Amino acid sequence: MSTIGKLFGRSPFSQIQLHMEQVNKCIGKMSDALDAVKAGNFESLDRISNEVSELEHEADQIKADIRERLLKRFFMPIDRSEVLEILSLQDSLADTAEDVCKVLTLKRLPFPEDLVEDFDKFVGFNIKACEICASIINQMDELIESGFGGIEAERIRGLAKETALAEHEADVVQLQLLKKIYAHDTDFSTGEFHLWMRVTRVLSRLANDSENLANRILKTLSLK
Amino acid sequence: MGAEFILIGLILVCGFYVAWNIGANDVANAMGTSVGSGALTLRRAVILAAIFEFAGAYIVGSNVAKTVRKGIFDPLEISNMYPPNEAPFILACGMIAALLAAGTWLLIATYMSWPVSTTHSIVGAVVGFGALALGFDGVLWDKVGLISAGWIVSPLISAVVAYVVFGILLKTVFYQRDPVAAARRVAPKLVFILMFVMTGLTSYKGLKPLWKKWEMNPEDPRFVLVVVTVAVVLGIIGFFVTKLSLSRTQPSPSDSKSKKNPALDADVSRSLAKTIKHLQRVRNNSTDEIQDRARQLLIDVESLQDKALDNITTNTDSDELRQVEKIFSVLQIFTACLVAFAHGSNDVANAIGPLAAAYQAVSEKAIIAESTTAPWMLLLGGVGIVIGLATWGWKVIKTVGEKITELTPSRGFSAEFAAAITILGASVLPIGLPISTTHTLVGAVLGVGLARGINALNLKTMRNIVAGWAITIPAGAILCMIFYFILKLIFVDSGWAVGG
Repeated sequence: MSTIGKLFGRSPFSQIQLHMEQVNKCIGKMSDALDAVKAGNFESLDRISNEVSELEHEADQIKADIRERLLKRFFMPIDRSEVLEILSLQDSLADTAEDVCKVLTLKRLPFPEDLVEDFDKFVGFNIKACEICASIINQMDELIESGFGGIEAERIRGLAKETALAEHEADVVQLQLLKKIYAHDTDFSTGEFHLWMRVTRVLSRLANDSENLANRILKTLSLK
Repeated sequence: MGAEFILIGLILVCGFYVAWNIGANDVANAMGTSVGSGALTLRRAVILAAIFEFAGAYIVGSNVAKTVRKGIFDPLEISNMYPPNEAPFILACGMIAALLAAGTWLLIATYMSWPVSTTHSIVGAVVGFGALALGFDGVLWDKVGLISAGWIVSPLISAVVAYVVFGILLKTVFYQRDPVAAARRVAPKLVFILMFVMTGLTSYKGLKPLWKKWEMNPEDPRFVLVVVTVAVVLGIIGFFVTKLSLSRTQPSPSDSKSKKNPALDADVSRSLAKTIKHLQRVRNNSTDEIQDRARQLLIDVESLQDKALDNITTNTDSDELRQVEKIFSVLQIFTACLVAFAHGSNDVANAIGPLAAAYQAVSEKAIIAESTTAPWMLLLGGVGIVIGLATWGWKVIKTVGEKITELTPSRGFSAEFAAAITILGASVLPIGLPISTTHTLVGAVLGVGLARGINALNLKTMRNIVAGWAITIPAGAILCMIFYFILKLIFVDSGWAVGG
């Protein structure tokens, strides 16, 4: 008689962590793609872009798997819809990483020297926001262990704050970067200029979505 | 004469089979969580379960057995309805039929893997026999109603208790800035409560016969005083034993580390957050100098808050929670034993209640009002449970234990604590209520889940349990009626037993 054993559903949280890991891999590969563009190494760009697509596809499969298994009759410490929202926010990070690579393969992106520093900073803050999010998701175990409260919750609050800070800094740097790109508007062709706009816009989604994800998790924390 | 021996043999075999079944299937719920969390090895779990099941059955088991044999219908009514030479055999046949029905139904349910309860099938079967032999009005429906109410109330009570216990654990241990130290502090107190409740309830029941023997009134306030004293003394012993055994284990290196960071407190940062909120209110609703001062203070407090958060983010590590679980895995051994004890006290009645009624009727050849459950019957039930555990139960413990990794020691502790208290409480009530151990434990696990303690609970099990009730009681009743007809045909109507 394993009534007690049957009582436990399969926890979605370890799968969510697996998904976030996959998302993180996508973002890591994406930064490889950005490095290739900076170095003018457009031959490897297609290959890297395909790899990112593949990773994103794998993440999608994990996502579909979680959704399928998250039965309505499951009773969890956080609501089912919250789990799904967290999942879709994570998914949007992977999608953005794929989008960035796709946009980069559209056309050779000219890379004037003076843009490099700000661009690196901009990318750095975006990736940092994602990484903090990943570490929040990674601490889900401890969060459950402590019943979504207490010192663990405080720690997550601190991390969420850092995510917001990274997003803010990314915004500030983006403004500087855009100013410099506009200064180059005569050097670039219309297509090139438009491509720059798109790359920056898509990249900035990373930090925005990360902040949303962090906030989404904050909402689930209980106050003592 | 031969028929009597056959009947008595049948009684003993059937009673033993049901006891075997209880040991084989249900004990896994008591010990499975401890094996799953690694607090106990399988061998130790089986040995501990055997000891405590047996003790529970032997010391407290008679109370519920009385309810099963006399609380569902009045056996004396049978001697009023049937000729005196037939009546005892009618009762014996009915009770054997009840045991057979429960045994058969459990076999079917196990084969189909339905989550049914031994208690429910026995009660269903006895009700079926009562309704058949005495007519619909012969069943004491108000008492049956009380028993059924117990089936609904017991999971609810254990859920509430588990919710409260786990909630207290969250507040006193997991939300603290040093969970390990907090766990060390809290653990002996928990053991005290455990020992107090367990020995209190047990000795209240177990000491009663002793007092009766010395011709003293068990209702005497002195009796209660003795019980409470025994409970307190054993509680204090448990308190110090735990304290000593915990202090012997190496204090973790993180103890000293966290002492250096007094700002590392969730409370501190929460209080600061409140201060900020109030200061903002002051700033918004005041003018001139007060507003300026408030603004200044707000800036100070905000920087303080950042500092506190920094400490929190850098200085805790998840190893602490693992150490807490280690402490609780020791405590969980206590609660697992307590569940085994409570289970023995309640479930042995399923086998022994009908057995005692049938045996007495056959051996005395009369249905007498004054009926006691002989110690050797409880012994038989206890031995049956232990043998069931040894021959089959350990396998079930192993499989259940492997499945229950979701229940960490602290959660297992809360759930078992709640379930054990509920079951033991039901056993020692003036009318010993036969309740389902499994369902009470399920209720307790749900309670822990409600306190946000468990990753994911499959609520489908609830539906199956309720469906199990709806099927088990009629099935037990109908099976019992069939067996009763067959047995009556062989022993009573043929005049075999009656004539001899």
